[in-house]
Amino acid sequence: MSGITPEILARLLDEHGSALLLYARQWCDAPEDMVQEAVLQLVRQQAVPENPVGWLFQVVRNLALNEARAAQRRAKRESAATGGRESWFAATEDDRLDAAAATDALAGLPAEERETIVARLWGGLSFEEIGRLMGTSSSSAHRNYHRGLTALREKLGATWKTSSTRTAT
Amino acid sequence: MENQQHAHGDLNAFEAALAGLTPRARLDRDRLMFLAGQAAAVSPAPAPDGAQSSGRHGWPAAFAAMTAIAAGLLLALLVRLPPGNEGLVERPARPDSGPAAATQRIQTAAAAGAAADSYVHLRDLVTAQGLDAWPDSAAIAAGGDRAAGPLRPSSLGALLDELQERPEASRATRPETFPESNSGPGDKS
Repeated sequence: MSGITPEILARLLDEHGSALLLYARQWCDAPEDMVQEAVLQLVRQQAVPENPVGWLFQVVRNLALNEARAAQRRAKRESAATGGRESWFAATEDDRLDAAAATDALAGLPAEERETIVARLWGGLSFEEIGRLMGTSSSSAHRNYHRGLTALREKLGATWKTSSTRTAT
Repeated sequence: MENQQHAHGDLNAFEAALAGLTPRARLDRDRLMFLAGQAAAVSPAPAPDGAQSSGRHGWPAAFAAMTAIAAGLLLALLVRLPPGNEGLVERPARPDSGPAAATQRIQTAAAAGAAADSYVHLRDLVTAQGLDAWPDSAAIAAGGDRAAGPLRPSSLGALLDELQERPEASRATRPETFPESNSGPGDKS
């Protein structure tokens, strides 16, 4: 086996696999292929990267962006969008937020804000890591996060108010 | 102030609720682990630092060394052979060389009747002075039968022509070893 051990790899997949999928899903319709390719590239590395999680997010981002460009050239992305978007989140018992509505609201955000929110909320990355990932500063990542979160709050306001009111009562 | 705190708390609650959404995971973990093991088996094993660095820098170092050697050889060749001087070597003349010495050797060889040596010296003489240095036939004939060799016909066709022009000469030189054809066995002279 190369630098990374099976135990470390299994733990990475368990803890960050779904977040990596969600992160890749922002750009392409086949996020599983992107994550799989990123994991295989990690295994082929001679030495384990200093930050394997950030490395995986970076590789998934590059692969997904390349795939998105190819999909745009094939014009399949547009037809898939008109046919309805598959929910990015699994259905949960917590009904405070609707998964489909959250998917639509998240997909409608500007790319920088959406990417920052996904990397922060579900990827668990720090603002410094997000800034390094996106090629910006940590303060820019922080601003994008709060701006996007506020926009999401406004988009999902009706559903959220109802749920919060129900929770409060 | 109170509204700001309320909004901030509401945003934190919204953030927590959003984080509670679980991303859809369709990642086949077992298959991915299998593929990872396969990729690790196919990829080359990490080499020790020394071997890795030597393998990485070995070929460039060899290339640089070969290039330096080739450049050195080319420079040495250009320095040792400046243009225009190729093949010009001056040597002092030998005392026994030159046309006079060659003529002397020819005459000596002809007088001694050494045909093999006369050819070599005749060649040297003609090479040095040209056809004007070719000795006349009388001088060669005076050297004896062997020295007169070059005057004989040089090919079979020339020999036949010469014999046809001088039939009596050839008849005189024919050996008479057989009896006359018209004389029978019973003839007695």
